[in-house]
Amino acid sequence: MKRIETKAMSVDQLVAHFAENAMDQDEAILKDDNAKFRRLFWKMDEITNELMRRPGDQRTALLPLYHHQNMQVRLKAAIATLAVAPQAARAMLENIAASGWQPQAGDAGMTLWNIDRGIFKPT
Amino acid sequence: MAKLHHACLAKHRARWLRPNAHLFMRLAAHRSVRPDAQRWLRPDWKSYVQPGYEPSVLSLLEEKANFNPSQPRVPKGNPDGGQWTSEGGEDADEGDRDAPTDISDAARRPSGIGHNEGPPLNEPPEIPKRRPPTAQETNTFFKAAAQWLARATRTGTPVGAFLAAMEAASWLDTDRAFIDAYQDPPKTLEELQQAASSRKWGYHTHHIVEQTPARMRGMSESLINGPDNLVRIPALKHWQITGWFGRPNESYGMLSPREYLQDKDWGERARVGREALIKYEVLKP
Repeated sequence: MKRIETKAMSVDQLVAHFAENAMDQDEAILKDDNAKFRRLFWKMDEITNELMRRPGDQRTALLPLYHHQNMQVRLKAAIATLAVAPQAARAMLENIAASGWQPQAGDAGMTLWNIDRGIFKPT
Repeated sequence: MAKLHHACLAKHRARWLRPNAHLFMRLAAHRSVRPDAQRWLRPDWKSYVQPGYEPSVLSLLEEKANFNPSQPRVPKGNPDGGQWTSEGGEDADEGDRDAPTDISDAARRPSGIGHNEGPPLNEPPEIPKRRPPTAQETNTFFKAAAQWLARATRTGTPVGAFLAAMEAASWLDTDRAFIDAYQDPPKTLEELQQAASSRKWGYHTHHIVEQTPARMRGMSESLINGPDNLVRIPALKHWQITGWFGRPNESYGMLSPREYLQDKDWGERARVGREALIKYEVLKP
């Protein structure tokens, strides 16, 4: 997998890479390819951290991904923005959980459950 | 009795047929129908025609289907992508497009998903003509088909043509159970636990508290394989939940749920296991 240099990327490029990786994750889930899922997970974490480091915490740039055509992209965008847009992100997670669109609905439901139990405190 | 006007007859014919009869026609390669095609007629169809009138099933289906292989379809990427689109047909066809199909139930549609709010539903997965060469490819098809059906049912997308196409794929005969089981509605814990005492194709015995990590932690075998910990659930849901347990997750501090639970007691493991069954729509809340 090609290494991405997040520091040199614009915010728009980072957002595009985030969405691309989430779509690949969706396929990895379907194929039960957990090794690929993990690689993508950490790449997306790197992108999210890079956006956070940018002036004004640019994780908000992920908000438009709530309307993406892919449910995994929506899920990951909601989780990544919980700290910067808690109400909107929670509403998005609730929407996904109620949608029955598995497996993302299950993941979103468990994320909300962990927030409510105090196990997950988004930062 | 006066002979019915052609247009009037066409309208009445449309009423004799089940809403999804035209889907049967798509599979039937337009000209041949199966011997049991009569089942696509409404049981009370005779009440709509003159006594003694016995039209052929094929003509009825053709009338209803208005089938044309070159009829345009909504382009891929559109929320209605892949569906047949109008080319000025009869008004009866317009109504049928929104009619619920065999396993579609508008009442089950949640508020948060649909043509306007949810992601567009892609085309159904292509059904391989023969069993795929590897188990992984076969399972990927099962999952894609099961998920597409579940999503289509939620959004009210017609599924009849896809179901009929699966029926025609002989290699799927027994394994179709995997796809069908995935469509089960959530059940009570008692129902799932009672079912665990017998086996059924398409279902797996699932340990609410994962067995291998619990065993590695030295937990009692009577707890691990006890009746409280065993449930029979759709195999594809079992894989979905097991997959979730093994993947890193932000809400467990970037650990996988399995890693997070490593130092937790039986109670916490059971809580997480039960909640996952609820969120993946196997267990009733």
